Amino acid sequence: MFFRYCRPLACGFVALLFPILAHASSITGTIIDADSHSPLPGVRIAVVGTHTGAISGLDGTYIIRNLHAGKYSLHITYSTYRDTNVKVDLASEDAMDTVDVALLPFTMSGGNDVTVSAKAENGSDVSTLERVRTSENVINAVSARSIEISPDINVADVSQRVSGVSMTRAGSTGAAQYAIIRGMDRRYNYTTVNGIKIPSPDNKNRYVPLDIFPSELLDRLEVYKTLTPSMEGDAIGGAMNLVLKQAPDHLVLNAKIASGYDGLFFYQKFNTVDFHASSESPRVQFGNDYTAPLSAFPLSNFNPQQIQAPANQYYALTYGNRFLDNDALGVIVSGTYQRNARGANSIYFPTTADQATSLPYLTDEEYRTYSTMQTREAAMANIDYRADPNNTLQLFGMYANLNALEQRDNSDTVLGLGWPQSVRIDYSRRTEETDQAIANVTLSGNDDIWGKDLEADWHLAYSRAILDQPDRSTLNVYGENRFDSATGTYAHEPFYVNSSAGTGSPRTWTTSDDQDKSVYLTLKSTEGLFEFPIELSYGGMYRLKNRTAHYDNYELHPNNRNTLQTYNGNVFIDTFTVWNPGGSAQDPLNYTAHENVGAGFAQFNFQVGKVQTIGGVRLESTDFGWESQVPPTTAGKTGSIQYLDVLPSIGFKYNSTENQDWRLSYFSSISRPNFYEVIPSNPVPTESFDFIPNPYLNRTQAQNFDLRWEYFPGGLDQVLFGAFYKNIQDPIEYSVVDSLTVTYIEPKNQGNATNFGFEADIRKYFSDFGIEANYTYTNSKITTEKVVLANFTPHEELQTRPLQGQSENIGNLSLLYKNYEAGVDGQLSAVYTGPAIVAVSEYKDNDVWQNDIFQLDFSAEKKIFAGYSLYFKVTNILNTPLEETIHRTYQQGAYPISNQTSGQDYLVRKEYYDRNFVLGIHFSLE
Amino acid sequence: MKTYNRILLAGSALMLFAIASCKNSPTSVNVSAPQRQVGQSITSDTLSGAIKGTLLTGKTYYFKNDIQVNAGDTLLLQNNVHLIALPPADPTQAATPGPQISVFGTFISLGAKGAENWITVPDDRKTYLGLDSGLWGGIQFDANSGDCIIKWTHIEYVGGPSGPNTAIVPNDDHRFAIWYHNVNGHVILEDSWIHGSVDDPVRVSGGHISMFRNTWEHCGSDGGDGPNIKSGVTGDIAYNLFIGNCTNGAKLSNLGGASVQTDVNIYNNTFVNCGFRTVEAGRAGSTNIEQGARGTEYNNLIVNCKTGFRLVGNPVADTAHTYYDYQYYYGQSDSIVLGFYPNYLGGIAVPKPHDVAGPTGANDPMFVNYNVNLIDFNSFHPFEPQPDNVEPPYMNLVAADASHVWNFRLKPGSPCIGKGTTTVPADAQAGGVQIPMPNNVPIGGDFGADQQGLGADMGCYQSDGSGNQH
Repeated sequence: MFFRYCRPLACGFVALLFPILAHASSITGTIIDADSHSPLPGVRIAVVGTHTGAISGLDGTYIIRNLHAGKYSLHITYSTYRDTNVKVDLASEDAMDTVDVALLPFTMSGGNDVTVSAKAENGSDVSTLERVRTSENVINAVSARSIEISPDINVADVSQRVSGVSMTRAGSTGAAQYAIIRGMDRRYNYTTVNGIKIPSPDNKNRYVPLDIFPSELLDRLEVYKTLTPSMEGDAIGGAMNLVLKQAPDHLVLNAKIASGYDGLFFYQKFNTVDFHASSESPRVQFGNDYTAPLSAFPLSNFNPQQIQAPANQYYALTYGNRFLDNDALGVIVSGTYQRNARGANSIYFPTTADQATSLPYLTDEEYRTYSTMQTREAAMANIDYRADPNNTLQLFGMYANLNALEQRDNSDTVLGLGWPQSVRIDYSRRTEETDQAIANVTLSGNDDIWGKDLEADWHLAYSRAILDQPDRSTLNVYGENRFDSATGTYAHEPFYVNSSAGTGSPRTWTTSDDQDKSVYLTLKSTEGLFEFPIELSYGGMYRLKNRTAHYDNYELHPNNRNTLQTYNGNVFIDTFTVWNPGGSAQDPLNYTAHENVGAGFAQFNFQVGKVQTIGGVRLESTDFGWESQVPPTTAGKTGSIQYLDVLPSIGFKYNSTENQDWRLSYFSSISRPNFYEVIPSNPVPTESFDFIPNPYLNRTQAQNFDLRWEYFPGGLDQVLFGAFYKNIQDPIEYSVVDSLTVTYIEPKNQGNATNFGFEADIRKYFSDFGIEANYTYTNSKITTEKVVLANFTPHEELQTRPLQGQSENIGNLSLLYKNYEAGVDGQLSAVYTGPAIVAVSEYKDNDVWQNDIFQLDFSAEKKIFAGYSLYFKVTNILNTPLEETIHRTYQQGAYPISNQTSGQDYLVRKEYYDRNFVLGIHFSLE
Repeated sequence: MKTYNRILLAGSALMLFAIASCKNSPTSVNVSAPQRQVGQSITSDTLSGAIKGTLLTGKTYYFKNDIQVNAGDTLLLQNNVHLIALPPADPTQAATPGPQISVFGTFISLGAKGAENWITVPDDRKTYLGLDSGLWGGIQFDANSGDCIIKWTHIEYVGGPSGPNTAIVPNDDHRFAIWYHNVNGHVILEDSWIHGSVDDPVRVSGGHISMFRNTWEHCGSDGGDGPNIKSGVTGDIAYNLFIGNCTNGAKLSNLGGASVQTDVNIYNNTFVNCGFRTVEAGRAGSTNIEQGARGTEYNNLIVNCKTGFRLVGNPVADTAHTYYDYQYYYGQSDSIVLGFYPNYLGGIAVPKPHDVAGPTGANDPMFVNYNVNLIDFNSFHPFEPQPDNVEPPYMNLVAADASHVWNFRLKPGSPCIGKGTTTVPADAQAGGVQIPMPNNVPIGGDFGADQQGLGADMGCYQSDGSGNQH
């Protein structure tokens, strides 16, 4: 695949070596997005009054030839961007003038009619580029158009290509899910939609899975790596801002239809379940005194069927236009539906620690197959009304839903209990439907008051995130293979339905409902009090958050105790009884909580000479409270936590030369503990020690320093070198606590951690192709207490390690090709994520590491006729497995264990997902 | 209009200054205190809520809902006390299961020979099915509780899942007749009967134990060992009679992460017909030492159990500090004999010089009233869990039905007499083993243990009348 596309790339190089000579005057230049700084390919540049014009290339460059000296007007149009007119004066024949244009996306806040006009001078285009460099923060951004031609179908896929960002992966599909920014795990980052923070559908935590959002909704993705006082202060890694589509200047109609297949299902069947479940558990529906009958647990949920995986489906439709006099009313609506069958095959070794040596002890050898039907539905609408350029009103709504029906078969050989002479096999068949939805409605306004002196910017927002995981059904059966030493073979006993202690067949309901109501107000004025103008903004925000979480676990046991029920694959011949018909009201995941955050800030922004200074202070007050379902005899059934944070920040930008900037910034930020870590409960059994929440957790605080050098050598090429240093107080880590009676796990504030690193982000475009590359080095350190087992008793020792999720090295490389004459786009993208800890062990040095991952994806698009193009995407070309290991040296004991090699690391997991193919048609009317 | 701006500017400057002079506030945490009822003195025969004090001799008391002994309080049962749990109609089909005794303080039951205490259910609920039904929830101790002292007491028909408002036991977890988990506390269980539990009859996950001369019958409906000892436990399990337990009689494991390694002497116990009701593969059937635990096994009489003593090789026990010898086995079928040294179940115990482990049908221990060939174990598949219908028959030693009142004392002339060791063997002595374990629990008096060292006769009944008194 790679080599097929090398040829056009090579041709591009050759073409570069022989530039076409101009016979007459020509205009050349680059078209970019004013906000994201991305080149805009495919922009129409028409020379008014003539029939000539051009379309910008992949790097945003264009050339209009065969012009004569004179005055021209260029009319520049592009979907969802403002139409722009530029006047050019070609002074002489045989001139080659450069006209660079930064197009403004059609947004509310940029209410003034801005036409970026470029001076028709040779060489310099700094004036336009400067505009895009004026962001107050250190940001990286990806534009909609780059996403459209990329192999990515959801926001999580897109995020992994951003400099400094790596992703955690979902176990059952291998799909990217949560963002780790500069080595700071998901807990240290937040996600906003159009600048409004959105709640999480997770019932324990507060972070947002990015794979819920289809990429079609995006106008652009922004990653903020520094914070200004006007931004919410609880990000230490950074903030992801999803800027969704805005109403365009003119009629836009876009449609996509595609199909695809997961390569895994070319050679294996897909397991599906005729799944029926009421969305709430019997206890939640009917009360704590309700005795759940067996009929509440249909056996059909235990009964997967093998089918040929259906073809994947992808649909997207976007319509936008402007109406009324002066185009005062703008509307855009967009909807997406994606349905795909995904799968995985994996081997997994759960571990504890050997009681004598503290080395990992492999308890089981598990083979798993996953079949997951993912349905992603999303819709958004954005309506804006511009009464006049200085008074605008906008109503925005979005809804995104990801439903995953996952079936997992797990064959578990117990490496104890008599192994290997007697081999116990636990076989489980699990069906899990997870429905996650996020919705947001925001009414925004931008008004000038007192004439033009004071600008008010306000938002009223309501957001909701829902998790619904009804009746997760796990059928547990077991069998035994007995080694017959006489014949040297294993005699296989039939499978029986589990009934014994703690390992019946569970039916579990998990729900969470998190609602935010927030109001934001920012006032801005510019004051010429000193010799230089100073822009002042101040404002505040208040958000009421309410969350309700429910959890119930029921266990089904065979209905006649002490009798065996054979399982032969047909569960309907087996009969069950409900072991605990009351459910599990006491579980810590039954709680209600509120978190009310009020914030105020004051920010200044002024420029003296070549130095721009932005700074100020933000105050955030947090009021968190809960009521849990533990019995009132347990401490902390209800409780509240309050704190106030003062978060100063300051940033300097020094424009050292015309095409170079230095940015230096400092900001102070926090990270709040997750709900589940704080709300007290009875001890929660885990695979090792019991988990005990800690209401006395402090929020994590951090001081963040950034230095970035930005170099724009010309065109859209850029070189960004940045370095950062973070000093983190009270990071929250799960620690082992020895209370002298029993050892347990508790989330604790663990002293100090540091994190430093540097980033390089380089972009070089040529006419027909380009290269984008970024690399991030991160080095973090934290010291925590861990258990060491020696002589069959535990003691604690300190271990220093990187933060969970931090890869020392991450990088991206994309090769892009575009040929306008042929209407062909191609992109080959590689992502490298270095080793990182994915699970911190309670035992010293036994952390589970994800091995490095090199993933290669490809996409191509070809115009077939006017408005229509055909596109093709393939991801995970190399079928890269997800591999997890413990960095301790495995030595075979008395008997060999498959997939473990003496002298190498302990293998914990190896999971394959195969390739994913998409073929579709794209229609676009603009 | 500029005036407004100037005011705003001045205001902002002032605000900036005000804010900058603020400090991050410390986290202010306000957590609700556990709701406690003051322990009420006992004034009526119906108990409820938090109670403390003495249950008087000769009296019968009832409880329908959970009762609780607060931290610092003591509930003491004099002798000849009946404490009757009133279970729901069908606790296996009730949202709120049978009531339990939740102990944050100290629990003492001082029954006496001929004046035993009973913690049980009404007579009309004492059915065979009831043994597996968890009619009430048992005695659950908090991790910081006081001691558990139980003498000459019947505890019956217990177990089942916890309910929505159950204290101490989390969620929908399993309950045991006694669950104790304070590493620094003491569990003295003497001369008592544990009869009928859904899962483990007794689980100790931390504590100093002294379990002498008890009878354990029909414990574990389809899973469960008992007593099931986890990490953090030291002491002795001796002169106990185990009949028809689901899996093992006594099991030691160091699982659980307590800072004290489990170390228990298991000696002079009699195990009859154990291990045949377990429905889990890979389980054994008399006594186990596994996963990092250490201990000793001497003078145990193991008759018609699914397996003999299993020293587990994976996850491995602390074999360097575990000593064993002098087990006496009887097997009515070939498969039972094969299981004396259950290496097919990962057992690594080897035959020891003083073990008696003959072929099928050899070495009848000669019980006073129990025919060791009563049940034909040949019809049992040796490697499969056994369904109920072939379970050894109902053998309640205290049942009114005289035909089922067995007697596992040794007849004169029994080959078991004098076969045991009365001194700690040399290798164990070299390893520092003393039996019973010294300085482990208080000794003597009402609140101390009554212990006995190694007995000359195999099993729990000694021909000199010492040992088990049931």
